[in-house]
Amino acid sequence: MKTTLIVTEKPDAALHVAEALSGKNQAKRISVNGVPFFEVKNGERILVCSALGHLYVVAAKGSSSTSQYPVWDCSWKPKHLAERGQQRQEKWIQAITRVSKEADNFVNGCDYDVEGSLIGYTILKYACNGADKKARRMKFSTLTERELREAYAKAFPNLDFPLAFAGMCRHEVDWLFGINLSRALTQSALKASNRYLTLSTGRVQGPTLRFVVEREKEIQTFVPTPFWTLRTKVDVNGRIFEAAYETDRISVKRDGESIVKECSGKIGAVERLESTTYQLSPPTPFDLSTLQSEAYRHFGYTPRLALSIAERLYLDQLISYPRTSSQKLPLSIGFEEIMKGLGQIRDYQSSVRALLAGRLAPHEGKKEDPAHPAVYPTGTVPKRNLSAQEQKLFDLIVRRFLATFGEMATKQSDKATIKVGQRIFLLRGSRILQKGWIPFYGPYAKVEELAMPKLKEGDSVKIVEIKLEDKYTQPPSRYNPSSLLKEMEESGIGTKATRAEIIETLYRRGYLKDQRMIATPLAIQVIDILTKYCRRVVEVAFTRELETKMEQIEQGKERREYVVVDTVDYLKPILDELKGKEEDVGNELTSIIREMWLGSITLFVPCPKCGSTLKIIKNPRTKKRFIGCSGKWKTNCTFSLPLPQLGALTLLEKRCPECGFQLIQVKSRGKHPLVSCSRCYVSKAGIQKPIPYTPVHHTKRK
Amino acid sequence: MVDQCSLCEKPREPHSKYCSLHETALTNLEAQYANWLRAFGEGLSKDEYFSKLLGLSETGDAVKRLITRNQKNAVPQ
Repeated sequence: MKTTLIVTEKPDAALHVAEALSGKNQAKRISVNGVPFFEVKNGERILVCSALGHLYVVAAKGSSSTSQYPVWDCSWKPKHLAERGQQRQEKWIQAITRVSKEADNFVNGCDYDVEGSLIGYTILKYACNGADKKARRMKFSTLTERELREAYAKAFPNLDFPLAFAGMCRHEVDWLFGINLSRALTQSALKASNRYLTLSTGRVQGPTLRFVVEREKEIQTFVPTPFWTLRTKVDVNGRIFEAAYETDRISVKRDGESIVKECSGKIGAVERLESTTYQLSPPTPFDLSTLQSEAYRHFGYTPRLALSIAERLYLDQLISYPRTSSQKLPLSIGFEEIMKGLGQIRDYQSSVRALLAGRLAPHEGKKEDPAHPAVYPTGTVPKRNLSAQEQKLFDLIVRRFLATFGEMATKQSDKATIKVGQRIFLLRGSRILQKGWIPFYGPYAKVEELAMPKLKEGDSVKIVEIKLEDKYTQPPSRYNPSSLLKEMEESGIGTKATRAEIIETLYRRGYLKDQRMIATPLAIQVIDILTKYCRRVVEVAFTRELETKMEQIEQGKERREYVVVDTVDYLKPILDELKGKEEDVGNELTSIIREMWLGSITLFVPCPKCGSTLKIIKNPRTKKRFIGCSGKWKTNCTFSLPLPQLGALTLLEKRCPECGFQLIQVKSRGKHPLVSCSRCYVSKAGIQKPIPYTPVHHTKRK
Repeated sequence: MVDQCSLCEKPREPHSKYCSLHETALTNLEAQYANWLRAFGEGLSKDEYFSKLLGLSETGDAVKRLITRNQKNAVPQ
């Protein structure tokens, strides 16, 4: 009996593939060196294994010191040889290699996109002794039995090499950018300040961070302009309504005061009544970025969280593949069957019944993706209790899918023009005439209605209240994870699969703070330096140009090798310049690194004895660390508190709920972080009598 | 250092006391005064303008820092 080895991307996917192909027989779970495989015997022997994401990554050729740059020679290496702490991956590769020796045929069953094609390709090429040349490729958008069986039966005879090469190219180009520019920054700072701080930037990271830094600068240099608005209430047949003055903004205060004086308590007349009827189109099916944006809007989920929840739902066979740019739903997915499946869930029964009564034609958007349709529910009923987050996202996806099949909604907008002396006021109202798709989208359709009194031309209306309100122009809004992702997408940088992760990296590196993004001083300094010494690496144009070239590789119109060589040619003079100006770059980074270092050792609560700054001090003789008062030399203050001696110490921006002192966190390898209060520790241990901590002394670090 | 901005440690712009951020803040501050005069009338002094800006959450931090420094350096009447 011939043996076929199918490589999938994740263990859950491997199980679904095995179950789908097993037919009436049961898929058998076997363990090779502790790595799970699934064996199916259904006329042929099929072994299904999974990867753990990327098992092979780009790394410097030979052994390279982490301080060395520029580095131009790279190759694909097993992850455990390139990165620390990847022992699990080593075991995985060994098991796949062992099993591959039994196989006659090979199939890449990873997700059908650039990353999936690359994961499968590298495993088949490196772990399966060059099996990439004879392997077939499965293409599917859901993990449902029907689709998986069909994808296996109709697998492409060859791997999707253009997609895999585009992925390789992206990883290689990103590696060249990231490793060289980040090392240049880190080493310059280390040499100048003698303090190590990882400073990273990258091909997409740089331009993305620049968006936030530019916005930060606009906010920091913003000078508001005053303007005034009129808050007007009118009496119509004993009922009070809010009216608007004809211009939204009054730019001169005296003008506003004149209007108030002229109109206060006056009676006006309805001069004109207008009504407009317009249609509201149903929403388009979800592509990934619209899904992420709606998940942020309704639930506050970051794009990365939304994607990870969507991926769990996909692995549970509940939705289609979420990493898609498409807003199209092809007929082949079987609208009616999906609807009937969803109809088994009580919350959607009435919507499904109403939709099945008519013709099923989705309102599609413009965006297309050759690999996958838009995100849609498979119609499978959840087999386990979904978590609250999963349930919310699933509900959003289902309702969005249903709403796309709804009819147009019709809305009427009414406007009454009221003349008071020479001044014009407007009364506005709106109402839904035909609900169409709105009920199908449920709580996510926010269509406002505004009550409007019944009026006819010539009616009298009395102004009962008119107030002049001070207003100021607002600085530009801060980015949030969702709007930054949108900006990246509109600028054409990054991919649907990588954008959310890049934003998270910016937070991890200490470049961004808060959901409403604040660029830290470190981020501003890094972008200023990159702009000064190598402007093009933070500009969108070059990154976008590379994205276009990678798309051309996907289409077989460009060669990966040429793009990599072009990148090296582009980066070489930049790195030469950075190397030559290492001292200047380092000096410009020194002050901010010193500030950050001081921030990491200075407490925001002052000394409860003398009010001076408290710092973490290390005894040079005993090497023990403790909290000490910086006023020691001025005020002879001897206040001190002990600290845990083992583990990495972080000062948290939080206060102890019991005494108000600043909390610390200690993290040791392999253990959960321990949060504690040094003051409470001392008083509970009876080492020191607690000193009353007056909240008046608390100062908050900016 | 001679080349440092008067308000922060960043290098100053050519022909200016300030770095690019504080120079932009100064430009905006001066440009907007005309709009404030139009809005509140000619009676609005620069000191009143600055005080109002310091009290507004919309005013940028770099602008506030510039105003505070200028107020400190102003010769008492």
